[in-house]
Amino acid sequence: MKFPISWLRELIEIPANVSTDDIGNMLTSLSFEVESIDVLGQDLVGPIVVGRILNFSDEPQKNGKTIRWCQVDVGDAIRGIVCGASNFFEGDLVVVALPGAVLPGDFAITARDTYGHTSDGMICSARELGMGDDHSGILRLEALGIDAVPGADALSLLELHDEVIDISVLPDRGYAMSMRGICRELASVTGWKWNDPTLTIDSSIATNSGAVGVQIEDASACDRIVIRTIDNYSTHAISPYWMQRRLRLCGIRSISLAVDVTNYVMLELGQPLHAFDADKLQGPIQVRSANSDRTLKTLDDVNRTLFENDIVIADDSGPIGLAGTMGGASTEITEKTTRIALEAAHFAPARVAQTSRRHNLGSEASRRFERGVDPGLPAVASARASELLQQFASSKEVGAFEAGSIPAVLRVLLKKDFASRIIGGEYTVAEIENSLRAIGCNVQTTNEGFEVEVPSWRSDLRIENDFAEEVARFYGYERIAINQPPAAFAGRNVSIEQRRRALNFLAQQGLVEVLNYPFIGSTELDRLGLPSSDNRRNLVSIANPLNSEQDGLRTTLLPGLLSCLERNLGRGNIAVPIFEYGSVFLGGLQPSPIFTTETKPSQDQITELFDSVGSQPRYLAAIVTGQRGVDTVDWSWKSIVSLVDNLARVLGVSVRFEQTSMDPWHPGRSAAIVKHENVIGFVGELHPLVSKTLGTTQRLAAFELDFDALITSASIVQVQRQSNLPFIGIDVSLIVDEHVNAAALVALAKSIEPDITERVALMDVYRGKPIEDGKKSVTLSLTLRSFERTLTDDEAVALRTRIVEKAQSEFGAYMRDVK
Amino acid sequence: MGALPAELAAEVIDKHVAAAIAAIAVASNIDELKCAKVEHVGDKSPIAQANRAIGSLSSEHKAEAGARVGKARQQINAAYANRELELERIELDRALESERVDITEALFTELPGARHPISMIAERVSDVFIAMGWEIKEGPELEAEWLNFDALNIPANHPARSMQDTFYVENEASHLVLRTHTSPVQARVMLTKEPPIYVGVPGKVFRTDELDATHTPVFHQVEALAVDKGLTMADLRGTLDHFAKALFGPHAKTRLRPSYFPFTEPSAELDLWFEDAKGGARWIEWGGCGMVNPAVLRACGIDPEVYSGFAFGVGLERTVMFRHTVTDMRDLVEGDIRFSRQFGVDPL
Repeated sequence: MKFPISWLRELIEIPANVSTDDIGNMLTSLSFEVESIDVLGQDLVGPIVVGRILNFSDEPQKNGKTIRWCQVDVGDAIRGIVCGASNFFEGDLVVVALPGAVLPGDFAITARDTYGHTSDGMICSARELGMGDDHSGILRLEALGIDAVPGADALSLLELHDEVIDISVLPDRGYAMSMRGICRELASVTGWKWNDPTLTIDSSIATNSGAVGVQIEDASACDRIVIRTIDNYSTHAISPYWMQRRLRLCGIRSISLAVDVTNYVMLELGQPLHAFDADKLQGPIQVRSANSDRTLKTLDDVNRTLFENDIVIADDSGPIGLAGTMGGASTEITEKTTRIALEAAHFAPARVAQTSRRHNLGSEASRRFERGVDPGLPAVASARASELLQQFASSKEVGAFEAGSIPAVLRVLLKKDFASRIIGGEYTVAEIENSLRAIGCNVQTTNEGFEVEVPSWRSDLRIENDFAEEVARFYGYERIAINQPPAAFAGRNVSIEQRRRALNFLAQQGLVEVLNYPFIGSTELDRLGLPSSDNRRNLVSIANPLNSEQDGLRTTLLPGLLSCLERNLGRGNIAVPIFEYGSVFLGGLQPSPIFTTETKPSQDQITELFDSVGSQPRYLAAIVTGQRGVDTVDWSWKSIVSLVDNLARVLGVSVRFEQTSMDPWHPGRSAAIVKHENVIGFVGELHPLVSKTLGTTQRLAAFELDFDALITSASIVQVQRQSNLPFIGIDVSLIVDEHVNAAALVALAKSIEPDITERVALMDVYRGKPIEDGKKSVTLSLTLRSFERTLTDDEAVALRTRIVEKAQSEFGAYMRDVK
Repeated sequence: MGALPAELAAEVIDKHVAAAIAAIAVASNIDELKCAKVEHVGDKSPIAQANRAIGSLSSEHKAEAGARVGKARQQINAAYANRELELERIELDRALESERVDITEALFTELPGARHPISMIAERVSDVFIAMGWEIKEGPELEAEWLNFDALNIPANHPARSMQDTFYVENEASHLVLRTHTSPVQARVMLTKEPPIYVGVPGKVFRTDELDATHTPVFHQVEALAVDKGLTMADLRGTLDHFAKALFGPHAKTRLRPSYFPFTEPSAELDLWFEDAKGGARWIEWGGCGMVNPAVLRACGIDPEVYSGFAFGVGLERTVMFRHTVTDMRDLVEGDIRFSRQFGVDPL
């Protein structure tokens, strides 16, 4: 909400030494955050005066334009001025910037030769004076309802110097969305005297059969409505300049006196009003739900389809307005209107909010109704509007009707210690009384506490916490004491620790963590070459995606990593090792229940809630590609498999790798990651067709695993004693077919005499002469040691023989000749 | 008693010793040194000959001559050992010089990796909670609407619930959403645990904003919830001040301004006094906080007449942006490795 500081200073006695910035700070500490303070007119420098057009001649120019050569009375002289506009007449009063004046944009006015004349000043448009956007012609003071003497200072006449404060009003403080509300807030903490405009208004309801009647048909939609009927409305009446100016500075366009008055009273008092052309009404006004009525053409000329639950203002013809949101076109005020029905009501805030949202139609009125309008206002605000119409359009009130009633005064009992129990520290009885009275409450102090009568405009004050906030706000949040409560629990969480270790390990190994959006679509899964039957194609869908191409939630981290990789390659990063940790969404959703919030859901209901969100395990994945550095190997299937193996070891988890072929992996260079016989992920090289979709021939190595599954059942390490007796080292080289895994040979070597086989290492894998094609020589290095005795060389050689024999029978291996 | 033979005279032996030491000293490598040794203490050397002559001496001269020759041998052997050490050292130095490398080559063998700044600030914040004795809790990102909104006192007609702000999953009737804040985890904790509750909740949240320099549809928050007997706004302020100092140093402090959130009453905006702000120390809007609304406690089965609670939340993107002078949100989203590598594995 924004307003000129001059209006505020007129309503409340602000001491001269209090600046606009000071007021801004006070408002901010009262919860009304200042968005901006605009200083108006600071780029306008006089002489800028009122002039009267004595006469002019239209002079067509070679460039096709017609200029007007005007003789203008500026008080002390008659000046010749060239003007490009033609929206004025002889005798009009205009605003003239004389030589020496400066207009916004550092536009200095001088007497200058143009179109064959010396133009001795400039006739100004509204925009050139910083009075809005209108640049369609020059500003005519008649149009503003202003009469003045030529030569008068236009800067003060038009009040071009001012400051406009823009504040944001929180959803629970609708009562402050008016000048009266702001005054009340400031006065509550400063004690400044303010002039409540409602005190001098006669708000009585004089019924008269000539006036428009009203009835409420849906009591849940509206609890109070007043309709005042105004006759003799002068169609020539225009809004006074001060009203037009205030509306403009508050961000509302001036339309006609009747509409301007309704808007002005809304800004002044906070009550949205609507003016109907009373002659277009058929029968009395009704407030009801739209029910079966289906359409309404609103003031903005849009045909709207109504919802059953929308509150409408209707007459015998059907709906004529969306209550609290926007009026209808059929009863609009026009230049022919002479009889007006003024509506002031209190509508149900939630229903207005729904209507405004459903029709995507926010208005100044709906914003106020949503936040809560004072139900005590309709009679007085409509009377104020009636008074202004009488004053400026010589109209008179025929009479009025009302329906509904002002809700009963709410009384709340506050326990004696409520403030210190919620805010902390000490607030005395007197302090609490003073603060609650300052915001408009009546307070009776009893032995139990405080009996508080809540003023009609404070619909936000219901429970003790609400009043505690008012007490804290009144004395300032900076007064609240400072204390740190002791917490009784140790917070170490093993799975979060494990995650941190894993992610730090990957970063220490040279990988860079990224966080991608979880939104994906079928195009990304096509890129991975996943077949139509693949489970990863069953995406949980988003009802309202930002981008229709990515309307699902990821089932794998690989698409996000690939896009990120593509972006990095595109930016010239050649070696790109990236990883991501995050949720994937595997479905299993159930429609989620909505329970009451009055009581805690039952245990079964809680289970139903928690189960409704389906399966969302946290995955860890990486894609690495490019050279790692000088004299080192590129990122490859080998480095990534070893990385995953080491990662598991760092976490104290045992996994094994089973070579498989699975999309989107290279059929011969990838493996399933297996833990306790469960496949928890894959690792290796991505299929070259995947990298082809990135437009690169670089090989991509990657892994993706279910991190939750990886770390489950990680347990505290239990050590074994190690033997310190002498050891024997012995090597064995086996020639086997290519398809025999090195890990299988290592396992075989370990299995024969596990008690004395302390360690089996893979020493070397050799291919080439003299080994025949399709075979490889695998050299294992064994460390043998016993807990009980010193082993002999004979035992070692015998074990080697048994290894060779077993390898031969299981894998067709034979021993390579030892020199 | 006869005289000593001339070859065993002190002057003669001394001359041999001097000659041997001189020869050892000039040997420029191990081979020359060995030759000098053979020549001066070998079988044919004058010293060896002198030694052999001792056998024929009378017993009274034997002792004197033996001592003299023994001492001579000792002197020569000592000189030899010293020179041998010297020469070995020279040869090792020469050999090592030939192994000289360019140490700077090693600097380019592996580019450093990095954690994402958002993950790191989340972990740093978690550490502060843990140090205060609090627990860390997480929850699902795809969340039940009731937990995300209703349980937190956000009524059905609240603007935040419109499809302009919230991602709905499958359709609106499923009542499943991508959580718009980490607060549903508060509800989950309160529904499953008796007070006292002291939890910190970091996590990913979603709003339907397009990505630009200051917005992202996917971002991160951390929030805190304490529910216990007798908690007041004073406890909230104390916790916030501690939290700020732990993250931003001893000069940090916080300031509260009245505000409105459905799930807290009283509510406040949280400002942070940021000493190291670019362009000078100033107050920075950091997050929101307040006393848990009794309606929230009631929906989660906690008696507001017995317990009270406070909660606060801050945005992690915002925190990283002002803490590390990140000026464009897209840098935190796009995953350009050049950006993240500036952070390393565990920076300040």
